[in-house]
Amino acid sequence: MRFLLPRLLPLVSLAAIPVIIHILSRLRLRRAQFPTLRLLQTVRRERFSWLRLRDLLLLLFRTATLCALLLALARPYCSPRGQHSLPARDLIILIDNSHSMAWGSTMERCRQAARRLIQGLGGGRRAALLVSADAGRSAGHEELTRNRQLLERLVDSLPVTASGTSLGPALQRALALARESQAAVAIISDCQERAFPQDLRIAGDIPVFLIDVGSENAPNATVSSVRIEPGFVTPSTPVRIRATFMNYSHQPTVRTAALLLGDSTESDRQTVTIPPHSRTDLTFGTLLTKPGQYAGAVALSADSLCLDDTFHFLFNLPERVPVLVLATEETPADYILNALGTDSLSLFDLTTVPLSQLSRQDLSRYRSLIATDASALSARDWDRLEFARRIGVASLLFCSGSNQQPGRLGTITLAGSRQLSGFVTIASFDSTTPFIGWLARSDLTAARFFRHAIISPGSASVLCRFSDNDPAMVAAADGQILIWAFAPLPQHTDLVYKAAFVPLLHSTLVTLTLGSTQTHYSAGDTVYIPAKSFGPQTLTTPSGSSTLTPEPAELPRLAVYETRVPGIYRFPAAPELSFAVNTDPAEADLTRVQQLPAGITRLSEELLPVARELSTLFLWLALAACAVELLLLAL
Amino acid sequence: MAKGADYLKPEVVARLKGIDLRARLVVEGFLAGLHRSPYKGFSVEFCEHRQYMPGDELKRVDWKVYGRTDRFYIREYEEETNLRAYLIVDISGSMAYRSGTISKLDYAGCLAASLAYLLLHQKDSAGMILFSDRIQTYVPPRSTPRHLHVLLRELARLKPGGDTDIAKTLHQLAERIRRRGLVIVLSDFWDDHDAVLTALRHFRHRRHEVLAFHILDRNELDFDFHSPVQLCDMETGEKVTVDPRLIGAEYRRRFKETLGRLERGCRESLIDYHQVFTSTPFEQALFAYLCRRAKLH
Repeated sequence: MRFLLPRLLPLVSLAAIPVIIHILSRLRLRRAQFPTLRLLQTVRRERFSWLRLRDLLLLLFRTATLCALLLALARPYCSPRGQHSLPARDLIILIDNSHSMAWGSTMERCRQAARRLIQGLGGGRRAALLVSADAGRSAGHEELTRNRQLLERLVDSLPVTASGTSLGPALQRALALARESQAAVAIISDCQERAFPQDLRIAGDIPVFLIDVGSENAPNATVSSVRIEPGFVTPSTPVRIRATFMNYSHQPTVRTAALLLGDSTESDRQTVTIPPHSRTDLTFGTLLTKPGQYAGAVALSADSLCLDDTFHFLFNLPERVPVLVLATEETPADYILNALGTDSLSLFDLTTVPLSQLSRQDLSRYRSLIATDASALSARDWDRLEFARRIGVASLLFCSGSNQQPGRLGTITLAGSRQLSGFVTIASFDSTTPFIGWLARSDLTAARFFRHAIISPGSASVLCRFSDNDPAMVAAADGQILIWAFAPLPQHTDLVYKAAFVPLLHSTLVTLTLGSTQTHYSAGDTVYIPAKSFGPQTLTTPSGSSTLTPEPAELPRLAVYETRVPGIYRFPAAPELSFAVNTDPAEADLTRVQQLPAGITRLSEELLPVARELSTLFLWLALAACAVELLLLAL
Repeated sequence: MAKGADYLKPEVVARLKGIDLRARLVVEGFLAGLHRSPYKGFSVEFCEHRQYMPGDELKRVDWKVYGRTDRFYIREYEEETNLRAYLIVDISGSMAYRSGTISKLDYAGCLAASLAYLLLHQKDSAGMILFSDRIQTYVPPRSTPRHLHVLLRELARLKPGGDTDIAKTLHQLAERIRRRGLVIVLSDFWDDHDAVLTALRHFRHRRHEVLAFHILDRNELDFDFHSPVQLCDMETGEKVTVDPRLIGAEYRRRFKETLGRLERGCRESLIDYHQVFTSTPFEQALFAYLCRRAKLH
């Protein structure tokens, strides 16, 4: 038997009061004379044995009543062992508090299991509490402690976060702690499949238990993404908002999807039917026609996991973007200018100058620049491009490879060109690249390339490759410089004639100059935003306001660490830096893990040791002892 | 009380002057006194008629009856005689108990002194026996006025102590006292009541009239203790610890039952039994008793 309030145990010594009173009363006995004790002796003798027994019983029951009452104050409890009892070691409790735990009553079962683990500790064992989400600002208690009340309070106040599940880092931390203190590890989770890293290795001497509080066949649907359509914009192109919904259950689900713009004004509502284990797209009827920033949310009618039923978005539909076009005689910019449009309806305000005059241009006036032939750039020009990047001007460089002088930008080396007897095509590309991903694969692979430059990318990212395996598009400097290994000329590629060329060029430039037209991050991410100056910026979030100071770096940037709450994060002084935060759509998949990593034992919550508080029992005992005492007094 | 005279208070004496203590039953005496004698002879009080027999004195013939009946009848008269009274006082250790202002022994002394005065004043004989577990003092009955001082002097020397054996002592006295008289027992009767009753009946068997004054302290009956107490026996010195809350009620019940049994036994044996408590002023108790007795007589 143990006690929840052991500090009160010394009070039990007060149960000796009746004994002390009994002894004192005998010592301070009154004395008197009586004529004769004959009759008294007779009466006393007849009742003597019963009286003596009664005295002793009264003393016993009085002491027992007091003892039981005082023990009840100390809140005794017993913790019988479960069928698969946890080993008699210190315990590291790791709680999964990702947002999937908010499904139904999963989190409450998790808290109950944690409480039972804590209450089941005994014999001086200690426990520590870790949580899977917010690893950098732990809501747990990493130090082993015997203070069960503290641990229970932490468990009760533990929130479900909007973060996705990744038990890996927290589990590694738990294993490290367990190794230090020879403890066991108990993980409480809904056993989402994505939570368990496949490469997890557990040392054999560390017992690791998994208490499964998840539900079988937990149905869930979510808004997995929201984007604008078409994927690129011009000032004259109205856009619609398109949402993708995912149903992770075995049954089709019919929901209501609402589009909320601005201050939660509902601008459209539609019914959507999502087949089981399928994705469904829905385009809302609302048109966005004017440039500007559009923030809002798509809300799906709620289910048992509400956090992922709302997807916040923030789109920047830009005004005209100033772009510098640098052309050579051999590589004119005609096709580029035609594609981007030079009239007032074009998104881009194009200025065309000879490439040789790059050094004379005030690059700070432009958001991005296009060079029709990077092979013609001198070393000094390359330095100028690097400078342009530093001041926030992105570059799109076509490359014919005709210049015999090899060019170099960082690790990228331009080493001539390849004249093909036939043609090559785009064989592979990174579909996650914003300006490529939305294109149909066939749009890009249908283009033929008759000549292309040879690029050694070094450490730069290769976005796509030709069928001869040479890089076709390379991104460097965090995607601020794009090099395409072909010139925008028909003799180099028939892409300039393809319908995909215009949207490809548009989205590439928009991505370079504006980033993505839609900016969102997952809850828990650390967001780095290039700042325009080193001055502080006010950030308003769904949970309040704060002031951010750009980090001391080569170029000013703002780091937003606190992104736990989904919603719109705004910079009032610099709206273009604002972004949206949502739950990780993949977290909505509640598919349970089938095969646990080796070394983890699954433990059902029903088999956990249940601590039973005995205070009520002791109160009843005290009452019973008091009743017996009263009965004895009445006899 | 230091002096025997203290047992006889002037106010009590003044009140006693108009009161007689008469024997209810026939007693024998050697002087003409207040009490009925078993002997019939010439006297002032007519008793009964009997038929004339040759040899009776003619002056005793009741001629009025002859005139009515033509038959001769003799008038017989009661002969009053004096009384021999024995004041038997218990001076055992238990008589020294007091819970108030006066002990049972002092109370008995006052009663004995008053009764002695009354008896001697009406020219009866009074004697005194003091006893505990045996006869301590024996003063033969006398009727002279000076005898009162003798009795009071003995009372002044009262020293309680010793055990009690009332029954044995009373039996001894019953054998010793031959002539019928009045036996007044002043005791707390803390002995086997059946044995005491038997002893008292022994006196009745000897044709004595018996007055039993059962002197009690109120606390003996009420047992007015409220917390555990160590009691010391005043006769044996034995000590015992009792919790009155546990045995008080039973003790009181038993004691009342014993008193009732003793009273019933005395009444059945024509023993004049009277309970007196030391909390009642003795003169009040005495006069109440004497008045009641006078009415019955």
